[in-house]
Amino acid sequence: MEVSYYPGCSLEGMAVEYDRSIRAVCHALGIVLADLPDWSCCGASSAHFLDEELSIRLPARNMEIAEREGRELLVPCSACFQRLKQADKELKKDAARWIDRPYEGKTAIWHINEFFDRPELIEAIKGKVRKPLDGLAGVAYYGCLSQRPPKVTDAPSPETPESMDRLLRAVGMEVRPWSYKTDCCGASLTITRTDIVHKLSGDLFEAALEAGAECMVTDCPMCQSNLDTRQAEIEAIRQRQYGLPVFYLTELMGLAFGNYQATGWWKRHFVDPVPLLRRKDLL
Amino acid sequence: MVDQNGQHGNGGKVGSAMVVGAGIGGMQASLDLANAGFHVTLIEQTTAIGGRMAQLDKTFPTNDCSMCTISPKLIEVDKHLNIDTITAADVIGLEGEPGDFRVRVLKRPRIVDLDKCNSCGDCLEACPVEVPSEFDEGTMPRKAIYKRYPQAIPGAMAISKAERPPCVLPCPANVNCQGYVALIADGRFGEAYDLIRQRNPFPSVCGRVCHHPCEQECNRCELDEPVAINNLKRFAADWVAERRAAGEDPAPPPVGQIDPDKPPVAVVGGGPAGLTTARDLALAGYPVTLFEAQETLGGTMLLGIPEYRLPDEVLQRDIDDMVASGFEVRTGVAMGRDFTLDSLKQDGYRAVFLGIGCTRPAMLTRSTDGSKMKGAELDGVLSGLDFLRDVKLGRDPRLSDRVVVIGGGNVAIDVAMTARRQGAEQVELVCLEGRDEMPAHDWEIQDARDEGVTIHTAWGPKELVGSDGKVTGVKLQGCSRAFDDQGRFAPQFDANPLNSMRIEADHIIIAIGQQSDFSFLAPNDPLWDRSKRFVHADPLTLQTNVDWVFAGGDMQSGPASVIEAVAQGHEAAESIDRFLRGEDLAAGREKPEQKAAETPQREFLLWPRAVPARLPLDQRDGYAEIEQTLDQSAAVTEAKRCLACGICSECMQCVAACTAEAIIHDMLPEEVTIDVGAILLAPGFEPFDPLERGEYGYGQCPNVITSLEFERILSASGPYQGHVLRPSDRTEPRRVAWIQCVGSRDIQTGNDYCSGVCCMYAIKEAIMAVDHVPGLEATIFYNDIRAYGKGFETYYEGAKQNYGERFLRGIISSVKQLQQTKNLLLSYVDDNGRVTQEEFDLVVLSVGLRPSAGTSELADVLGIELNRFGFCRTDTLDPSRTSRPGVYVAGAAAAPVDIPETVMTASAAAALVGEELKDARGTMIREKTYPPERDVSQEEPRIGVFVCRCGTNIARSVEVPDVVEYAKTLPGVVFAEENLYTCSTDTQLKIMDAIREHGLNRVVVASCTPRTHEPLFQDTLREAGLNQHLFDMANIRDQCSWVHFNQPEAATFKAKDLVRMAVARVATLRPFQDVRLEVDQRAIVIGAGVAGMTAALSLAEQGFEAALIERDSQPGGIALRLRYILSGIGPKKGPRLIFPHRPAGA
Repeated sequence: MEVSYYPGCSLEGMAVEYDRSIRAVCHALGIVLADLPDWSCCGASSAHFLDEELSIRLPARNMEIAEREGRELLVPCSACFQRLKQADKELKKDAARWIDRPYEGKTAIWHINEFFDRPELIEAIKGKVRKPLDGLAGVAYYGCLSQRPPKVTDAPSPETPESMDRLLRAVGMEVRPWSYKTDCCGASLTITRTDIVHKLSGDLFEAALEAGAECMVTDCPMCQSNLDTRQAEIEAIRQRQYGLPVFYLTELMGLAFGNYQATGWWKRHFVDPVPLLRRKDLL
Repeated sequence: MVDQNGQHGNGGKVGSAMVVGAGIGGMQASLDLANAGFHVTLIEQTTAIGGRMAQLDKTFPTNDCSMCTISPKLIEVDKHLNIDTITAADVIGLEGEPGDFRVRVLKRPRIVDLDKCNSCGDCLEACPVEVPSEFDEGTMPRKAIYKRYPQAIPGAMAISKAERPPCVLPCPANVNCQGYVALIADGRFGEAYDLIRQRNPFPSVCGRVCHHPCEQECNRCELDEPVAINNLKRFAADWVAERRAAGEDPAPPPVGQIDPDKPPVAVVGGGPAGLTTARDLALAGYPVTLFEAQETLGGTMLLGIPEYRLPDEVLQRDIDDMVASGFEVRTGVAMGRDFTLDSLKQDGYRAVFLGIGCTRPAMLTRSTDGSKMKGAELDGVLSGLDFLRDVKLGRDPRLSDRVVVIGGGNVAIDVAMTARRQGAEQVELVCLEGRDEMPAHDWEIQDARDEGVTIHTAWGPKELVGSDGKVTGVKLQGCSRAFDDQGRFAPQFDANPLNSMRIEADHIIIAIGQQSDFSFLAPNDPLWDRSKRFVHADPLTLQTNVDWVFAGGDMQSGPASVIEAVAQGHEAAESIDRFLRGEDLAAGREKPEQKAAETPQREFLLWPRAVPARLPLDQRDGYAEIEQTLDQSAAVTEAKRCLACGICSECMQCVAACTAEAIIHDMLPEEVTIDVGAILLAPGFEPFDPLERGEYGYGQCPNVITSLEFERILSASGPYQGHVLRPSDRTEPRRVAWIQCVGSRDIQTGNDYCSGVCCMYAIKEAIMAVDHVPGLEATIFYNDIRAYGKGFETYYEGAKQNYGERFLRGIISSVKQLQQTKNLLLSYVDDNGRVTQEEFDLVVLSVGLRPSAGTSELADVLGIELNRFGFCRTDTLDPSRTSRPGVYVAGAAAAPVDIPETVMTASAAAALVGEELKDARGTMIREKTYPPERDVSQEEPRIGVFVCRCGTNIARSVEVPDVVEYAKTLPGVVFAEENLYTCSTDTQLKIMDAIREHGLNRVVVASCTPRTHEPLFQDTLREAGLNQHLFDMANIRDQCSWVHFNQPEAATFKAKDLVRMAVARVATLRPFQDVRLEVDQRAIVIGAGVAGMTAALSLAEQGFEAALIERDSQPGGIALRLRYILSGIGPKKGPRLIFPHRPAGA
């Protein structure tokens, strides 16, 4: 299986461990990732807040390339995912406004957890597990951008997604049910209104602990960095220890697959997961 | 009714109507029409009439019991001579014109015969399959055979079936997996064993060694892991063995009635195929002799499977069970040596089955470079098959030091693990295939690895090396691929000399396959196929070149599993039976491609598959069994993981339990065409599915339920017998929230209409909740309260004042569950504008009304238009007509309405049908005539008492013969008898005979409830010429056998009491005549507003004279003062606009 891969800027910088774990997991599963040639900015962060034209034109360029490549498109960053989905919708409506060639719109755009969540891949994933994550209890946190609004994301179950839960169960993790899978963590206000982030992310930590989780798992780089880097501040404000490592889904898949590089990935995390994984006899 | 021109008389109209949907609307319309002189066919999709209203606990604004209100109507519809009810049916076609339609109706198979089923309920106990009850909105289970609800009419049971379950289809022998898993879940292990044995006579063996394709196809794989079907089979088999060891036999082996006149059959080979064939034929009555070359039966199961996987005594108990069927066994006699086909023929055998298995090991002949294999003759080179056989025969071949096993199949694995037990210190296994291609099962490979066997994959033996004639090792060459693109075995080797290795070995055991040993055949034997190497049999019939000789098992399939051999054994027995009866061997035996049932669409709890205990590695030096049997509680828990994909598992327990012989499992769908003059649609509504509103956590949070589920919780026949409990922990909730407008007034789900009933039912449910649980705090989150009907506002105010209901305005955006308590957090903005979070124990979603699921198909079939929400399109001022003339609509199919409005629209639509068919009124009704009534006024009471056994339902607890004897002693009783079912048709004849023969003038029936059965018996009295009121019933089922279940003395005592009371009462009764009054068929309508005019016009159109009286100088009433109404029409423009379908001046 060969798919086009759009890493986006986060996966080259702050979420480089996400990129590495995705590549390792895909390699193990025999999925060939072909980086989208000459990919460019998706227009998230600033462009789509400030300029409507730019908000479509930037991702439209990438979708045009993806269509030429003719493969399914894997977009791990949920902000990129949403921009590309939006551009795809606009191009289908009126391609001529944005690009110089006809647009068929046949490129399937995937974010990580729905990409893996198909029966044959789940089977393959189960088959690759060498070290099941037995006894590791966590919650799957999807965040908002890959799910909402459903008319952009086409998420099958935008309020109660299950795909990441299934994947984590496939690698043996004990996935705790909770009601906050898609609640906002406040990442887009992390610089401008940190006080709101403290409230929103703090509530997520409380809910995760209440649900019996020992870690959180996400497939969104913004959520990961927000929940990871702000956790200590929030602990200080709320006078409470959370100690919740925030994993990328693919990091845990890699760990379960027995990938020897896995331990290197989370060296970049602020909340050190090593003590937890040692306690669970997974390291 | 058809005149000479082929036209119906009566203006070409048929005096009969069809009503589609038997909820309260459909029933009301049917009764109106039938009472007005029209014949009615009432079509209902489910198995019982009653619809949504029957599901409700109470009705607003009077808090009447919904069931109590609807039940008399159920009976009335059921007993009405001019209403034919067809349940479990769909309308699938419509032709013709208004007044003369032909409607095609598909009756889905109920599986239960409506006329024979007495609703005794014995089958409910027999059925092991549980699925969520539709009537109870999934809040409680029902059986696969079921009555939709306790008061259901018709009372007969029904069975639901999906496609056949996916576990059954892939089984070579079609063992009913879902059935025995369900029986195990139900604790009926003996029955489970019996069911397995019907298709698989080796439950103990297969429970250990089967490759279980059933589990690969199990739909549960989609959720978590397949049900451990095979371990469950083993559990059932071992449970039976345990009981037998304790001196009981819960499942005695079936024994054939051997008919010495039937032609004798010889079976050659005592492996699974031969044993199965012999058993099947013995059970069919044939005298069968089974010949086995070894001293013991079992074939490869005995000689090829090591004891740590299949202990000998386990195999023996399956074989003993089979031999009990009555075939003769001769061991130690080999074909070719001790007998031949010719000698069998001379001995009188008329058919032979050959199941000689694959007993000759394949040996290494070619090296990886294509040359002849060197060293195959060296000392220390063994065949795997011989090695295993020697171990099983107790010859105890000892090994030492290093052993290399060549081969990648299950036999090779068995050899490797056995080699370790026979003394080898180091065991290495070499095979051509890559790890993922090895033919051995994954779980067996894992076992071997666990025990320290080293596995080298993708290597081929180049040469066996040795010194002094004794083997010392093997040279290996890398295998680049074992299979070609078509998946055929065609190994290719890497020519690179560097890609090679050598393993030192003291023994090399070859396990690379086996073949049948045909050395018993002479070169010119007619059995040979053209190649002169095989004996070929037809794959379908297993018949060989020689017509009276059949062959199967490994001998035909090549080395395969036990269950495949069993399957062939069944087929061979079938063929031999046909052959000996001179029938066509092949007819009807091609198995059509069958679709498997899909995963049922509902929420399932995930819980892990049971894993049987295994012998610890450090205890694995002997042959003790590695895998253990599940214990009873683990097995039952595991069996409950089954999703019951096929719903009914066809285990046939109900057939055995049904004394009325009412169950017909192969019942087929039936299509009927019905002539009617008009059609009235009342298919009702469906509650909105809150899964579409994921933020409310429905389906994820057990304590978030729908309003209809809450109705069932309130109901006495609901999941908690009327106690208000919450689902997660069955405790009484103190804080309950209702969230209004779920799926109503909601643009996102496309339901931007008000459902009209939710405000009132939420208020009612909250009142009832407070009534049930004093101190319960009810909170209703609402948009605005629409209390617009008669008495509604008073009801709403009363709910606030007398029940403390708290009303908070606002739409709740999400429901959060606390994972420990399963309580629910709701955020809302309070009266001061503050965002507040509040915890509740239970959240009820006030779901809106949608058109019922079948409405759009029905509209397609009937060619009527729907509006954008899927409700029937109607005109504002003519709300009961659909877009097709002659087709009318009532109730929630046109728009969301409450019960009173449904009843009104039903009567309104019935009136329109009456207009349409007025010329044909009374032309198709049936009338029953009775013989003249006997005058009994001068007679002393002569009472007959009929005591019902109700199958076993009453007789199980009540000593029915005692009650009969007691009744005979009572004053006035001249006749008493018991009946298996007093309500059955033949018993009615017996009652009539008894009335005539014994001159009875009073009758008492002691059976069930007069609510459903009194009219039946009264009718019998009338037919026998007795006044129907000289009758009484004693309810000894509900009040004796049910109340005093398992207390026969108390039940019998009370039954006698009730009979005595009934006899005493009936003796005092006098005949009573129903009075008929002539009616002047004219009406006065007072008030000529819109309602009065509509009523007067309809009466006139129905052919009745109507006088419309108005105090004003002109008709029109308030409507004359309105400039516009909602739809924009100005009523002042005159009656033509108000009544666009009416002739002017009517």
